[in-house]
Amino acid sequence: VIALVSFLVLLIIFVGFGERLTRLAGLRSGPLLERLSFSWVLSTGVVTLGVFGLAVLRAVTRGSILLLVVVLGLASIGPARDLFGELRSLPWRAILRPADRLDRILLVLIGLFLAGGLVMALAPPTGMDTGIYHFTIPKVILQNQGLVPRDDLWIHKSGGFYMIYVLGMALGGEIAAKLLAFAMALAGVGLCASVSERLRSGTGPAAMFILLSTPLSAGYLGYEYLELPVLSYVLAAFLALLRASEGRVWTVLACGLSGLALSTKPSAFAAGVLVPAALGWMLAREGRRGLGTAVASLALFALSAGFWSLWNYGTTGALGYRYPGMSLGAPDEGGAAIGPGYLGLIRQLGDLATLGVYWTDSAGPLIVAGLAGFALFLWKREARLAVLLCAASVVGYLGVLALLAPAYLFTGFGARYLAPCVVGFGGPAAAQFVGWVRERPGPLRSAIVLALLLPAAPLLFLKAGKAAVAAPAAVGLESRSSYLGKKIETFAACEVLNKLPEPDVKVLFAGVRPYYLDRPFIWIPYLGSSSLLQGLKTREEVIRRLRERGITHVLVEPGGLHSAPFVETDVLPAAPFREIGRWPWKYDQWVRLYAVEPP
Amino acid sequence: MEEPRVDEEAARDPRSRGRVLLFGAALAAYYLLYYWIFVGRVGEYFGDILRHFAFVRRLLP
Repeated sequence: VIALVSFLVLLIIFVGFGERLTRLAGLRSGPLLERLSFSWVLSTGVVTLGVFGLAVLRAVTRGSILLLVVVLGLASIGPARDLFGELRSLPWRAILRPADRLDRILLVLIGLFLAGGLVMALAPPTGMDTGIYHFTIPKVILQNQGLVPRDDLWIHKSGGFYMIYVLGMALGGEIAAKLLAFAMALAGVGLCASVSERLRSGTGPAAMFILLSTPLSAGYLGYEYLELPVLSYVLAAFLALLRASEGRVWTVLACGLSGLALSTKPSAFAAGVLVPAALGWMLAREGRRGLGTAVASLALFALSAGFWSLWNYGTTGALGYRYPGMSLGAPDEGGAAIGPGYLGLIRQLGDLATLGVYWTDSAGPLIVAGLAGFALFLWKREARLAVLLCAASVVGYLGVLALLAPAYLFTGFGARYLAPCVVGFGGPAAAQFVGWVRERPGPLRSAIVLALLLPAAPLLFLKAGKAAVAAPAAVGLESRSSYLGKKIETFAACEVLNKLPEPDVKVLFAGVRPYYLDRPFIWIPYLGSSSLLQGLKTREEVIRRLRERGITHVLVEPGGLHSAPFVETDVLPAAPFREIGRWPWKYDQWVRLYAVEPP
Repeated sequence: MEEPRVDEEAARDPRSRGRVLLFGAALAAYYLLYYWIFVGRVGEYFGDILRHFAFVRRLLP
């Protein structure tokens, strides 16, 4: 209940504050859906920078976050009242029962995707990367009242949207944080419709459906990952680019918003294509008069893309911190073997056009078909900006990798990193094509309507299955402990540690997901090497190091000590380590928990 | 009123009909490939889920 109330209050404040910002910037008003979605994303960007500032100052407390929200709330009162007044006056009956039969079907399917995502968002977090770092880092930030340099946790990888998770967790716990991510995805859906409407009138509903029925969106909706926030920033920046002729502020915003996409996930650097596009178009229009705007745009882009790097530089002396055993452009120590091989490049693009592992990460077939259809039938008839940006993002991504990190050019990782750009630019382009085809009865129309609807069916089925499993926990019929105990192999061991009466418990966590641990911990990353154990050769050295660092317990998940396997075989089986619990894992293996006896 | 006339002409144009046929055939082939991969991926997913939840079965008395 606290999570829901916090979320609803934040929803109103974010939308109202974003509207206030657009009024202060003197931006001309647009359609309501566009204003609501764009306001949300704009507020998210400002709050990200605000909470990050608090985190750098080590001033992240529930009180400081509450104060920030109160300030935003006071600024949002008037605009929020206006927006909700407009919402009330909308012709809801006509919106919810459109005249066109296909639009009615699309609306029902959109509702089902969103309902599945909402149920997932209300259930406790189970995403793999969430437990590794997307929620672990915000939790560590809250525990330490700010950012702390650590070489055992990927806290030096830029993750701008983590600040929104910090805000949500501080006010309403993990479910509020999840709901904020869900709302960000909703804003992306609204922005996709808004962009499409500006490219071709009447394509909004199809664009919303196209976005939601991609494996990328269907897979991640309701989860706590970063792909959908990146997608929403890309679409907001695209919208700003489309409105750039209305005033120079839009160009500055396009650059700032694409910077926020990059700082959310640096591997989404393909979103950077929006910057040369926005600046080039503005300078072509304005000539030398636009130089000041170009400088302001680049400055905002540098700030919004690089704020995390500035903190890295201040704390580690490097803009991009290199973790032990991990480097860009070379295979990670202990990680999966990668490239080079052109088969890998084909697989990367193939995954993007079909499906990645676990039916996520791809742009889905309709976007690829829509782009091809656009090129074949509409090239000389319609605005080509979306198609060109989509092509530029793919070429730019591959080009940058070829120059800076050729080994990664040949792996399957790229599908997930590229997909937000391909969906963000390709979705509206596909909607343009679908909109054009719908106006022309004939076999092509029937084929495209079928191609539009078909990919949704299995994805909806799978999403419904996941939502059904999560529903009892989402509505409070199943406890967090029971739900997560069935999903996370190390959860039971974490619960034991969390409930220990001793105040000074410190855990060496040799497992994948430390998020569920409430006690201080040192993590042994599942990729790369561990700085804690690096260079240690003997049992005595390991015991001495653990005592120096105050470790009282060791939690080991099978494979968790891959970077120092002798610890599992030669160190842990004898005193001072005492096994105090074990829980079943896959393949007849066990999660083991050890207490470190005092000397 | 200009645009529909252009389209009607285009619909009668054999080259245009050829393009539609080519596009339709490529679309059908692509969707078949997509669903073939989809089934494989879902199989992979459920296989992993079953392995993943082996620990739950072992928790049961």
